[in-house]
Amino acid sequence: MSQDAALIINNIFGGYFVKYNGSKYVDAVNDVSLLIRRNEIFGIAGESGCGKSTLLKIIYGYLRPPLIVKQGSVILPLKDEKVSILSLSEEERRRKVWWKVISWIPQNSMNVLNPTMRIKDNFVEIMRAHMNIAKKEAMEMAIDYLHKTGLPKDVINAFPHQLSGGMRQRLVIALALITKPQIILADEPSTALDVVMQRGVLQLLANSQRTLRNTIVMVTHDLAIHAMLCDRVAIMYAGKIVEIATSKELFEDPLHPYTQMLLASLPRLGDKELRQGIRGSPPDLSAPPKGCRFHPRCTYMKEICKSEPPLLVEADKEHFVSCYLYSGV
Amino acid sequence: MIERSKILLEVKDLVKKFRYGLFGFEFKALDKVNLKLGEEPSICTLAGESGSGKSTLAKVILRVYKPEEGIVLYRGKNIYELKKSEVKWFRKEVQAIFQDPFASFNPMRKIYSYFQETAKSLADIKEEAEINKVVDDVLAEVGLRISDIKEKYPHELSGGELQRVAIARALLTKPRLMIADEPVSMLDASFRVSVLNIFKQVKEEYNISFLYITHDLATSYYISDYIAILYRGTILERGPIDEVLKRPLHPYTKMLLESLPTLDLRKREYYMHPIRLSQIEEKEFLATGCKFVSRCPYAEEKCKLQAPPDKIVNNSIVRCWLYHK
Ligand SMILES: Nc1ncnc2c1ncn2[C@@H]1O[C@H](COP(=O)(O)OP(=O)(O)OP(=O)(O)O)[C@@H](O)[C@H]1O
Ligand SMILES: Nc1ncnc2c1ncn2[C@@H]1O[C@H](COP(=O)(O)OP(=O)(O)OP(=O)(O)O)[C@@H](O)[C@H]1O
Ligand code: SF4
Ligand SMILES: [Mg+2]
Ligand SMILES: [Mg+2]
Repeated sequence: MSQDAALIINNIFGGYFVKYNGSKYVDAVNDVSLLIRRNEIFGIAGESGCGKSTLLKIIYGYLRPPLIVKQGSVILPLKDEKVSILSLSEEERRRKVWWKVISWIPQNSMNVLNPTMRIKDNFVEIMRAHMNIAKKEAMEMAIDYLHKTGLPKDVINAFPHQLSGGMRQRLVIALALITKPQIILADEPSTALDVVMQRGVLQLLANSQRTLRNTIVMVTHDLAIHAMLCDRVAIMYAGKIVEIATSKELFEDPLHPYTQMLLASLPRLGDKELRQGIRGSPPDLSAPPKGCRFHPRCTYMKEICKSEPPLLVEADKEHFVSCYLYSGV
Repeated sequence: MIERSKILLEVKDLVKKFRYGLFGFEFKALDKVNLKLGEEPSICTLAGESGSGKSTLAKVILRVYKPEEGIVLYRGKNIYELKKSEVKWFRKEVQAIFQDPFASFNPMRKIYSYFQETAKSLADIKEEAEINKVVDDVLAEVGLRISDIKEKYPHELSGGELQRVAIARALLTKPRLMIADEPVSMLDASFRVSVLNIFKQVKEEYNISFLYITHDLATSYYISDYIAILYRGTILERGPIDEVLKRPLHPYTKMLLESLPTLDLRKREYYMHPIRLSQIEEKEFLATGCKFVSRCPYAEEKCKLQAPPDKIVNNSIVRCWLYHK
């Protein structure tokens, strides 16, 4: 295994067992393997409902019903041991992994802050729960830290509802960074914000990454954000990773038909050329199509695409794709 | 930008006040808003960040909120002084499409019943066979057939399909103006452009004008003819789309454009240049001078004290002291 691996994700199968009119299984993450490196910003993109948040929860080991993992492992190589996150008990994860090594910024995380406490008390509480320090020490550290993050002074004494959404989101991110984690899992950290505030939030994340030289796994459906921020990007479709490449390759020379059609459908400022959407719609994950999950919408579909799922192959150096156009059947 | 005699919609010095919280202080969610749409079918974008007042303006134009000051003229008539018969005429002429298509339809009711109802009450078509025919026509316009929806409930369609259904229903009354409040922001990227293409197409074929409300400038550029940029209840700049987005005048428009993430990797380095952010939005809404003063790199004393009036520059109208020298 590569020396510089931050996380090794092996053949994860996971989803939701829901009981509603009988029972069904939502196949949200299907045979996903990824190698995420140290000192990189790794993006995961894909449309609503394709399984991005589910994958992130599994990586973090936040397995609450009805979410289950059927198969696969998440390996976290530390200095002197390899931790297999999914084999730990939740208590062990809390003690060994969460916050200390990996911070998770969940989707819609603005409500992570307790509304009845001032910002500084919010910080102190989290720090005491995870860093094992005295209250006074935590308070000093929090104040010092908030100053360094460049947030205005009066924010420390404010209650969450007195701040704008953007400011709250910056605080949630600051909170996730305070323990200097090796890995940050960020789920749509700037989606609810306007573009100027979004830029501020993403700059905060990128700058911290540069200083700490750690790893960020950045989940968002917004491809432009990946283009501005990420070193490498994975495209997810209906629970499967269909393409992984460096940002440059992915945006300039996409290989998978889905990636190509998606990029071609996006209007760009300064360009009025007529664009087309992708026909059909993403599948219901409780009954995904057989074979390649994109085949009902794909214009290159062949007979084999309908029956056997294509494997993820390295079509070009560092450029992986899961499509029969590249695996030569 | 448009001759007086040929005006479809005119919004003049509109002020709409709200209170923050239950007993909070009063603020102007819209502060002296001016906007004009010509008779010639066109698409005008109303862009601005969250909370800038976009939906409030839409609701004032749709007669949901009564403004405290200013007027809204639709084809020369003050929409808050319509006679009873004119109210029905107005509802036929001005239709709306909202962000969440699922919220616009009752989940327990078949989709087709909405078409029947609209056809009977607003389009004055009573015969079942005729209703069928006109519904088929409007559905064809959005790429659907009656058989696709006839027996269906809203949740049996995808968001993109249901939004197309909402557009088709709005077309039934043969409106002249559609107020579309974030009509594609909840749709998957791969559906968005097909809905936008429908707007373009019905603008041409049905002579319908659109007020397209969005915060997405890329889609705005794709379909619009004009754009107005709203900030804290004030329109800071408006004009032809190419003018405003390619040669922006207001410092806020410039900042907005510079902050747009794009698919062009060459813009990466620039995107990471540090910027100044707003912190307390209440303060900005209450500012007596220019609303943008706390974030503006060009701010002077005067900007804090007095709000700048509209000024025509080239083909645009801008609200900034920089252009009053
Ligand atoms: N708690 C749950 N119970 C049942 N199904 C769920 C649950 N959470 C998510 N799902 C389903 O699992 C699939 C993947 O959802 P997930 O939240 O991972 O998508 P996503 O890619 O993060 O989407 P978005 O961009 O909307 O955040 C979807 O079909 C979703 O409806
Ligand atoms: N009925 C109301 N009562 C009190 N305040 C309101 C009401 N409706 C809107 N506001 C406030 O008025 C301001 C403008 O809101 P509006 O919904 O028009 O913004 P918007 O531009 O549509 O934002 P978004 O992009 O989030 O939809 C906001 O500060 C909002 O909180
Ligand atoms: S495997 Fe077949 S159906 Fe799937 S994307 Fe490739 S060509 Fe299309
Ligand atoms: Mg998600
Ligand atoms: Mg709104």
